[in-house]
Amino acid sequence: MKLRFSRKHLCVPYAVFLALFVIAPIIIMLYYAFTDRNGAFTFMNFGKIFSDVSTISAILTSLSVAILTTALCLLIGYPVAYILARSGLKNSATLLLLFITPMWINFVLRLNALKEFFSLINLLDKSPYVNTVIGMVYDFLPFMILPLYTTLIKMDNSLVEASQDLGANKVTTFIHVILPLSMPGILSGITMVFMPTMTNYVISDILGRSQITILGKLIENHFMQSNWNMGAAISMFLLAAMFLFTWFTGGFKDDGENKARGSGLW
Amino acid sequence: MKKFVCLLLTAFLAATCFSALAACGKKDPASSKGGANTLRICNWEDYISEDETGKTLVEEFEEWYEAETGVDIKVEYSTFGTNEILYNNLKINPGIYDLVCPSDYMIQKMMSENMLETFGDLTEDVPNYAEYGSPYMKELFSANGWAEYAVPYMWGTMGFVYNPEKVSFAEASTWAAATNEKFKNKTTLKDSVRDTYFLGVGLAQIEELNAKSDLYYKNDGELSLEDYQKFLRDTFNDTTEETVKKVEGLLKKARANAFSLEVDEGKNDMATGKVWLNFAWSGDAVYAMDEAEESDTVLCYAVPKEGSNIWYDGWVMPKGANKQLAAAFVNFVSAPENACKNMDFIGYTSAIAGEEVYERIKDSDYACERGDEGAEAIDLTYFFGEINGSPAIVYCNEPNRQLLAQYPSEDITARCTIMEYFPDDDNERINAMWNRVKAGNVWLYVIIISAVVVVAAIAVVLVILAKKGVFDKKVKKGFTKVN
Repeated sequence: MKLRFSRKHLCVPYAVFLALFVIAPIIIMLYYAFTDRNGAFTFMNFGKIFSDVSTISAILTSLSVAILTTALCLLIGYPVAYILARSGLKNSATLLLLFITPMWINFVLRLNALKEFFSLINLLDKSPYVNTVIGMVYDFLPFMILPLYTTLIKMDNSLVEASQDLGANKVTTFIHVILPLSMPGILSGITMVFMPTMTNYVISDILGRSQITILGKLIENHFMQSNWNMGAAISMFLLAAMFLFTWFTGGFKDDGENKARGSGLW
Repeated sequence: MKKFVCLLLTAFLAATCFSALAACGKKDPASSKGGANTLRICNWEDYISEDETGKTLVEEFEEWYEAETGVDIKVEYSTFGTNEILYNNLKINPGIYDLVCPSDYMIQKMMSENMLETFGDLTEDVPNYAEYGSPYMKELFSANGWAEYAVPYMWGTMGFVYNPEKVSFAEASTWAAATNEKFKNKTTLKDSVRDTYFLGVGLAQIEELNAKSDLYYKNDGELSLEDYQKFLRDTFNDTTEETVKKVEGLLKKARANAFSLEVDEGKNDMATGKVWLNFAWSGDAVYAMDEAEESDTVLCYAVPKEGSNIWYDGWVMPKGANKQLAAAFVNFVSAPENACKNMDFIGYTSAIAGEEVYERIKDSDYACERGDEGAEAIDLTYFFGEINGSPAIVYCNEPNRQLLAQYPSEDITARCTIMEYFPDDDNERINAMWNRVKAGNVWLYVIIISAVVVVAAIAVVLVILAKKGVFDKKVKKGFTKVN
């Protein structure tokens, strides 16, 4: 047999890595999710997810934090990305860099600094929920701005000009042309913000003083209480939810990209 | 087809890795056990002395052992974060450690599950402990039948660190401090279910506990120390449904009152004044008071008058351990000289007594001279035994501070009891209760989600309407709109 090196083989390291550190752990988690303390097969863990107050509360907390954070990020991030990409500012790339640079500093450090600042302005001992949302927005804003910026800067300006030539005012142009064209950016921004905020409990621990229990924290709690089965079950549930969410927005994205090419505009 | 082959390949790889891992897990202890000159220790994080150069007692032990016996040994030292993690490690990989240092209730659990080796004759194997170990600790251990299996390392009480400018001693020395609305957002709870459950029981049974402690401290012999201790032990380790339910309600109240749930942060938050009351282990209390002194803040420590917890961490040898080396190490850290080093570095109180430790306490900054202003005599004979034929008295003019946290008086230990391990089912119920306490108000989140969804829906409708041209200007007379 002749072994020939082909381009396909370049993905072997990745496949090995994937199998070892992604697939194998998931298989182990699946085992724990479907067994009880004594190792017997059971569906009870998943039953408990929807019957226990602590899980339902954590799911709702995570959802509300994630939705609120994503909405705020979009509201704050869109105008910023729009101005950076389209108003012809000099050095807009440098400005963008200024928005992105904080991402390079470890976020735990930044959060602790933010905690001290909150304490300085007497916000820390107020609502842990509001603090958590502010922290999430602070941390994930760049993830919203960046995809929006890339979509907006790639947008063909002649389409906007055409719309204006045809007598559309600024609002109409925005709603009919710019917004549909920036849909791919909006969707990937939403995906990049919504999913991590569901589980990023470092933020709720530091700024919410551990008073807010989101799904990630609940999973940690179960593992710390050596209830691996329940922890694994919630993780699997979360994984499935994430998968569905990505699929859902991913389906939209294809649509959006078609739009970006100009079809479906009229 | 290609995709399918890829998938198959990955699945195959995963399967082989998985079985390889499983095989590793099984083989590991046996193969690494082979070295009779290797000692594998697992201890709490930051729980052993380190000198300025970063050299730990572990390295000193290696050198000492070689100097003593001429045998070159190697210590594999690792750390754990919670008792449960250590227990899980030992369950999954029996025999990976020769010596571990869990807490009271976990030692009892391991004992009951027959996971431990015995120490044998302490006077021969761990002579330092036999000679210098505190009579109080020895008594506690033999009375409970742990002496064969465990040698105590550190011990202490549980209580409240408080800021005397904001909180009085009377307010701090009761479990009710946790729910006192005067300190709203100025208290902390431990994000650790066993400790917080203890606090919860203290709150739930506060009246009965108070009545008994009054009876005991009246000192008229109506309630003997033995009976009082038994009452405390039964009360604080009560896991009946009724108690757990009561505890749940009270812990929810305490949580609403608390600034944070923490394990480590509390010490700093006390020093910076973010909180005034910190539910803490005595060793952490000493650390917090020392730290605060550096920024000229005075903090104090109080043990609830209704009764509290006395805890210890002890060295135990899991089944199949290298007993000889493990005992040698325990003996080494039990030498008064090394116990002092540990206490200096960690701030916790060693279970080792002896003259050297006593002299060090007497000469430390925490104590004062006999004639000093406000000096009060604290009798620690119960812990140190008699020193050169006279009682072990330490003078102190700063009541309720480091010295008390390190060495509670006999009056305080009388009202302290130990934690027992709970059976799995009880444990699960209590964990679930604690998770419920930590859960937020479900309806609040429902409202928030619905509000955001409604706003988003309105925005979408507006955009759609705008697209349909509802908001466009009316077409002037005589013109037609071209789409």
